Amino acid sequence: MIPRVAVTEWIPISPTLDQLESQADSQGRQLYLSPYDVPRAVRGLLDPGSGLFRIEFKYIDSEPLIVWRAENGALALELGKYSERVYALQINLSSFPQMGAGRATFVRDCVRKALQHKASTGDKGHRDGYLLARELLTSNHAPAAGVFTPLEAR
Amino acid sequence: MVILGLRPDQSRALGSALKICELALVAVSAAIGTAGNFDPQKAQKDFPTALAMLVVTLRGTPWWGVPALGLVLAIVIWARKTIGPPSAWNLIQYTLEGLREAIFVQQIQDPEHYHRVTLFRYQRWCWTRPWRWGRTGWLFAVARSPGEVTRGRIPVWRANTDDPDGAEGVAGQAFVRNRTVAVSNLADITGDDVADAELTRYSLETYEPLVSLKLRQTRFRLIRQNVVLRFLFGWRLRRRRASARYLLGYPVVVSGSRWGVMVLDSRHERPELEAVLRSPEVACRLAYLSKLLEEV
Repeated sequence: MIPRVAVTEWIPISPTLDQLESQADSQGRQLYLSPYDVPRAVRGLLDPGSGLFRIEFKYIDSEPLIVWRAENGALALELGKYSERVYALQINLSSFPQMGAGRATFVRDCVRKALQHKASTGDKGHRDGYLLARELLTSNHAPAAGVFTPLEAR
Repeated sequence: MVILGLRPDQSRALGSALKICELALVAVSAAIGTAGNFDPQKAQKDFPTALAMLVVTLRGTPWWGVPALGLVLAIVIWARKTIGPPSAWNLIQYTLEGLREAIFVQQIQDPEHYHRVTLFRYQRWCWTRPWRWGRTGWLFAVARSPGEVTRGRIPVWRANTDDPDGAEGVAGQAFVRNRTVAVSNLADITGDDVADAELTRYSLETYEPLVSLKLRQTRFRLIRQNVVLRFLFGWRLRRRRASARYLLGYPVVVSGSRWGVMVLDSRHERPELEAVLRSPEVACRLAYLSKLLEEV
């Protein structure tokens, strides 16, 4: 029997203003992320056959994508070619055979580290986008934490 | 046709004219081809005089006539496609009106002109203003709701990503920073006797050059004080609009690249639009607008 791909519904995201707030301004102006850089929805997909777990973001606009791979090749980010928005994250679960029952936590941790790494090493102008994605997926009471549910079902 | 600095209504008119031109060229080419099938002497005998003369004239077209017409036709088609379909700007205006209603939903009781939405387009060169030829990166107003874009009434803002400190206005800053920039609780600078300190504060908060604010103040003061100027330009005083107390600008993105800026201005000091901008309805309308802007 071919294992079925587990897909969550698109989870609508509405970040709080605090999450969207960008760098401070000396003249009292408020700076926020552009509405085009804030994801509208997110979903998780798990393909048990190939051992791939994927998180996809939906934005107002779309554009050609480029792929960034982590050094060990287990994690890949699909980024907007011009805007560097995070459109998708893909994790090869077979690269982590040591994962036990807590694989959702393990994957969440991997995602957090990868997004943190991109935020600290990438272009300053795109840092807030990575931090927002990290916040939405991995913070306490994260609004998009539901994307990891396919990993919890065995 | 942003290269020529045309306004949307001018682009629309030019697009329609080019469409007529294209049809005319096709018709002339077809007529030349058809005329070649008739014997001119027989045509003069059988056809009415005007038609016979037309056949004779068309048959006299030199050999390079049809290829030349084909070349002109290709140029006309290219220009028309560059401008985009004439209906695109009508749709953009309609979408902008819907977007304004969705954004200012809590201010629905107010007169429409209290809260406006203006769409600016980024353009590298400013051909229409020779004194600005030396510098690059400008934002031109192309659509506004309510109302329409009138030449000279909406400022052109500087927005060069290589010189972010020189970016003017909330529009320019939103563009170069690629962020939503919001300024609230702005001073009311509508009168002619606003103190310099107020103007300076307004200029600092909105990034609007102090010189242009002062020039505007002086111009209106002179019109009010001088009888002749009041007779000639009194209409300017009557049309003068109250200054914005709140401004919010965010970059408009088309296919991942910054296309321009949307600026929301309001007479309310703090209409709390940042939260409304995240609503699904506004997001849907922005997505639709981005798709339409791919056409122009």
